Amino acid sequence: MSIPEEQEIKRTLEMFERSENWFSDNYKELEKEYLDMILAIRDEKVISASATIEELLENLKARNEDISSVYIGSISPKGIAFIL
Amino acid sequence: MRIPLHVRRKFDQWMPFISINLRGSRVRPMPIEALVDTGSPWIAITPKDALRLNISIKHLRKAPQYTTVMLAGIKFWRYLLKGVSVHMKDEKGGIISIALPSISVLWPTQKKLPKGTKNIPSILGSDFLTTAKLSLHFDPSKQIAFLEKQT
Repeated sequence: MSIPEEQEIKRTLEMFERSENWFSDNYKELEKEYLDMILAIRDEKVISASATIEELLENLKARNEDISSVYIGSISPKGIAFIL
Repeated sequence: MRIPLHVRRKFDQWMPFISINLRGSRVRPMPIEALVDTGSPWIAITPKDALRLNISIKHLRKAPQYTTVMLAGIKFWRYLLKGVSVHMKDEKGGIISIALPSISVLWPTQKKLPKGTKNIPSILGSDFLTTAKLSLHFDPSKQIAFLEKQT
Protein backbone atom coordinates (compact mmCIF):
# COMPACT_ATOMS: atom_id res chain seq x y z
CA MET A 1 0.00 0.00 0.00
CA SER A 2 1.29 3.47 -0.88
CA ILE A 3 2.00 6.02 1.86
CA PRO A 4 -0.78 8.45 0.69
CA GLU A 5 -3.25 5.54 0.68
CA GLU A 6 -2.20 4.57 4.20
CA GLN A 7 -2.50 8.19 5.38
CA GLU A 8 -6.00 8.41 3.87
CA ILE A 9 -7.09 5.22 5.70
CA LYS A 10 -5.69 6.59 8.96
CA ARG A 11 -7.42 9.96 8.46
CA THR A 12 -10.84 8.41 7.73
CA LEU A 13 -10.51 5.94 10.63
CA GLU A 14 -9.66 8.73 13.08
CA MET A 15 -12.55 10.89 11.88
CA PHE A 16 -14.92 7.91 12.10
CA GLU A 17 -13.73 7.05 15.61
CA ARG A 18 -14.37 10.59 16.84
CA SER A 19 -18.01 10.29 15.71
CA GLU A 20 -18.25 6.75 17.12
CA ASN A 21 -17.04 7.98 20.50
CA TRP A 22 -19.40 10.93 20.47
CA PHE A 23 -22.33 8.63 19.61
CA SER A 24 -21.40 6.21 22.37
CA ASP A 25 -20.85 8.96 24.98
CA ASN A 26 -24.18 10.62 24.14
CA TYR A 27 -26.26 7.48 23.58
CA LYS A 28 -28.54 8.04 26.60
CA GLU A 29 -29.38 11.58 25.48
CA LEU A 30 -29.86 10.55 21.84
CA GLU A 31 -32.14 7.72 22.95
CA LYS A 32 -34.67 10.25 24.27
CA GLU A 33 -35.10 11.86 20.87
CA TYR A 34 -34.28 9.12 18.36
CA LEU A 35 -35.63 5.85 19.80
CA ASP A 36 -35.61 3.00 17.24
CA MET A 37 -34.04 5.22 14.57
CA ILE A 38 -30.84 5.18 12.59
CA LEU A 39 -28.65 8.28 12.69
CA ALA A 40 -25.97 9.85 10.52
CA ILE A 41 -23.35 11.69 12.57
CA ARG A 42 -20.58 14.03 11.62
CA ASP A 43 -18.57 16.58 13.63
CA GLU A 44 -20.45 15.70 16.84
CA LYS A 45 -23.86 16.44 15.27
CA VAL A 46 -26.77 14.35 14.06
CA ILE A 47 -27.05 15.38 10.42
CA SER A 48 -29.91 13.03 9.50
CA ALA A 49 -32.20 10.49 11.19
CA SER A 50 -34.57 7.92 9.65
CA ALA A 51 -36.52 4.80 10.48
CA THR A 52 -34.61 2.67 7.94
CA ILE A 53 -31.07 2.54 6.60
CA GLU A 54 -32.33 2.76 2.99
CA GLU A 55 -34.20 5.99 3.78
CA LEU A 56 -31.19 7.44 5.62
CA LEU A 57 -28.80 6.74 2.74
CA GLU A 58 -31.30 8.25 0.28
CA ASN A 59 -31.54 11.40 2.41
CA LEU A 60 -27.76 11.71 2.56
CA LYS A 61 -27.48 11.18 -1.18
CA ALA A 62 -30.17 13.81 -1.88
CA ARG A 63 -28.22 16.27 0.28
CA ASN A 64 -24.96 15.45 -1.53
CA GLU A 65 -23.34 14.39 1.73
CA ASP A 66 -20.05 12.51 1.53
CA ILE A 67 -21.13 9.15 3.03
CA SER A 68 -17.52 8.11 3.68
CA SER A 69 -17.14 10.88 6.27
CA VAL A 70 -20.32 9.98 8.16
CA TYR A 71 -20.76 7.61 11.09
CA ILE A 72 -24.01 5.65 11.08
CA GLY A 73 -25.36 4.41 14.40
CA SER A 74 -28.70 2.99 15.45
CA ILE A 75 -30.73 3.45 18.62
CA SER A 76 -32.29 0.15 19.67
CA PRO A 77 -36.01 0.01 20.47
CA LYS A 78 -36.78 0.23 24.20
CA GLY A 79 -36.64 -3.07 26.08
CA ILE A 80 -35.24 -5.19 23.23
CA ALA A 81 -31.70 -6.60 23.29
CA PHE A 82 -30.04 -8.25 20.29
CA ILE A 83 -28.09 -11.40 21.12
CA LEU A 84 -25.68 -12.24 18.34
CA MET B 1 1.95 -5.49 18.55
CA ARG B 2 -1.47 -4.55 19.88
CA ILE B 3 -4.63 -3.27 18.23
CA PRO B 4 -6.78 -1.39 20.76
CA LEU B 5 -10.52 -2.11 20.77
CA HIS B 6 -13.33 0.20 21.88
CA VAL B 7 -15.21 -1.17 24.86
CA ARG B 8 -18.75 0.09 24.50
CA ARG B 9 -21.80 -0.17 26.73
CA LYS B 10 -24.66 -2.03 25.01
CA PHE B 11 -27.73 -3.41 26.77
CA ASP B 12 -26.09 -2.56 30.14
CA GLN B 13 -23.02 -4.70 29.43
CA TRP B 14 -19.55 -4.04 27.98
CA MET B 15 -18.69 -5.30 24.49
CA PRO B 16 -15.51 -5.00 22.36
CA PHE B 17 -15.80 -3.14 19.05
CA ILE B 18 -13.25 -2.24 16.40
CA SER B 19 -13.15 0.34 13.60
CA ILE B 20 -12.01 -1.20 10.34
CA ASN B 21 -11.59 0.07 6.83
CA LEU B 22 -12.51 -2.42 4.11
CA ARG B 23 -10.96 -2.23 0.67
CA GLY B 24 -11.75 -4.29 -2.40
CA SER B 25 -12.84 -3.94 -6.00
CA ARG B 26 -16.55 -4.10 -5.16
CA VAL B 27 -16.44 -2.00 -2.00
CA ARG B 28 -16.78 1.74 -1.44
CA PRO B 29 -13.72 2.32 0.80
CA MET B 30 -14.82 3.66 4.15
CA PRO B 31 -14.66 2.70 7.83
CA ILE B 32 -17.24 0.61 9.64
CA GLU B 33 -17.58 -0.49 13.24
CA ALA B 34 -17.63 -4.24 13.97
CA LEU B 35 -18.28 -6.25 17.10
CA VAL B 36 -15.42 -8.62 17.91
CA ASP B 37 -17.35 -11.84 18.41
CA THR B 38 -15.61 -15.20 18.75
CA GLY B 39 -19.07 -16.81 18.70
CA SER B 40 -19.18 -16.08 14.98
CA PRO B 41 -17.19 -18.40 12.68
CA TRP B 42 -16.66 -15.58 10.15
CA ILE B 43 -16.14 -11.92 9.61
CA ALA B 44 -19.60 -10.88 8.47
CA ILE B 45 -20.90 -7.64 7.00
CA THR B 46 -24.52 -7.05 7.94
CA PRO B 47 -27.03 -5.21 5.68
CA LYS B 48 -26.61 -1.81 7.36
CA ASP B 49 -22.92 -1.76 6.41
CA ALA B 50 -23.34 -3.63 3.09
CA LEU B 51 -25.62 -0.79 1.92
CA ARG B 52 -23.23 1.85 3.20
CA LEU B 53 -20.23 0.16 1.58
CA ASN B 54 -22.24 -0.08 -1.65
CA ILE B 55 -21.76 -3.86 -1.83
CA SER B 56 -24.24 -5.23 -4.35
CA ILE B 57 -25.25 -8.79 -3.55
CA LYS B 58 -26.38 -9.15 -7.19
CA HIS B 59 -22.70 -9.47 -8.05
CA LEU B 60 -21.89 -11.99 -5.32
CA ARG B 61 -22.31 -15.75 -5.07
CA LYS B 62 -23.85 -17.55 -2.15
CA ALA B 63 -21.39 -19.48 0.00
CA PRO B 64 -21.22 -23.14 -1.07
CA GLN B 65 -21.29 -24.22 2.59
CA TYR B 66 -23.45 -22.80 5.37
CA THR B 67 -25.50 -20.85 2.86
CA THR B 68 -27.95 -19.62 5.47
CA VAL B 69 -27.13 -18.05 8.81
CA MET B 70 -29.30 -17.17 11.81
CA LEU B 71 -28.21 -13.96 13.51
CA ALA B 72 -30.17 -12.08 16.19
CA GLY B 73 -33.22 -14.17 15.32
CA ILE B 74 -33.14 -13.18 11.64
CA LYS B 75 -32.37 -15.62 8.80
CA PHE B 76 -29.78 -14.43 6.28
CA TRP B 77 -28.29 -15.70 3.05
CA ARG B 78 -24.51 -15.80 3.30
CA TYR B 79 -22.75 -14.38 0.25
CA LEU B 80 -18.99 -14.34 -0.31
CA LEU B 81 -17.12 -11.18 -1.22
CA LYS B 82 -13.69 -12.10 -2.53
CA GLY B 83 -10.38 -10.27 -2.54
CA VAL B 84 -10.92 -7.90 0.36
CA SER B 85 -8.40 -6.34 2.70
CA VAL B 86 -9.11 -5.13 6.21
CA HIS B 87 -7.20 -2.16 7.63
CA MET B 88 -7.07 -1.06 11.25
CA LYS B 89 -4.96 1.09 13.56
CA ASP B 90 -2.43 -0.31 15.97
CA GLU B 91 -1.61 1.20 19.37
CA LYS B 92 1.04 3.49 17.83
CA GLY B 93 -1.31 4.80 15.14
CA GLY B 94 0.21 2.69 12.34
CA ILE B 95 -2.03 0.89 9.87
CA ILE B 96 -2.21 -2.91 9.95
CA SER B 97 -3.50 -4.52 6.74
CA ILE B 98 -4.83 -8.06 6.50
CA ALA B 99 -5.70 -9.58 3.12
CA LEU B 100 -8.51 -12.12 3.22
CA PRO B 101 -9.56 -14.62 0.53
CA SER B 102 -13.20 -13.75 1.18
CA ILE B 103 -15.56 -12.28 3.74
CA SER B 104 -19.22 -13.08 4.38
CA VAL B 105 -21.91 -10.59 3.44
CA LEU B 106 -25.28 -11.31 5.07
CA TRP B 107 -28.57 -10.42 3.43
CA PRO B 108 -32.03 -11.34 4.79
CA THR B 109 -33.83 -14.23 3.14
CA GLN B 110 -37.00 -12.07 3.30
CA LYS B 111 -37.53 -9.63 0.42
CA LYS B 112 -37.88 -6.60 2.68
CA LEU B 113 -35.21 -5.81 5.30
CA PRO B 114 -36.67 -6.87 8.68
CA LYS B 115 -37.10 -3.95 11.10
CA GLY B 116 -34.38 -5.03 13.55
CA THR B 117 -31.72 -5.36 10.82
CA LYS B 118 -30.46 -1.82 11.35
CA ASN B 119 -29.49 -2.68 14.94
CA ILE B 120 -27.26 -5.62 14.02
CA PRO B 121 -23.56 -4.69 13.82
CA SER B 122 -21.08 -6.22 11.45
CA ILE B 123 -18.94 -8.87 13.09
CA LEU B 124 -15.26 -9.66 13.26
CA GLY B 125 -15.33 -13.42 13.80
CA SER B 126 -12.96 -16.28 14.47
CA ASP B 127 -11.76 -16.70 10.86
CA PHE B 128 -10.29 -13.22 10.97
CA LEU B 129 -8.42 -13.87 14.21
CA THR B 130 -7.08 -17.15 12.77
CA THR B 131 -5.96 -15.69 9.42
CA ALA B 132 -4.39 -12.62 11.01
CA LYS B 133 -2.88 -14.69 13.87
CA LEU B 134 -4.42 -12.39 16.46
CA SER B 135 -5.47 -13.21 19.98
CA LEU B 136 -8.27 -11.43 21.80
CA HIS B 137 -7.81 -9.98 25.28
CA PHE B 138 -11.01 -8.72 26.88
CA ASP B 139 -11.50 -7.67 30.49
CA PRO B 140 -15.01 -6.20 30.70
CA SER B 141 -14.74 -5.44 34.42
CA LYS B 142 -11.86 -3.03 33.64
CA GLN B 143 -13.11 -2.07 30.16
CA ILE B 144 -9.85 -3.17 28.59
CA ALA B 145 -9.80 -4.92 25.21
CA PHE B 146 -7.20 -5.38 22.50
CA LEU B 147 -6.09 -7.76 19.79
CA GLU B 148 -2.50 -8.95 19.95
CA LYS B 149 -0.36 -10.32 17.17
CA GLN B 150 1.00 -13.74 18.03
CA THR B 151 4.75 -14.15 17.72
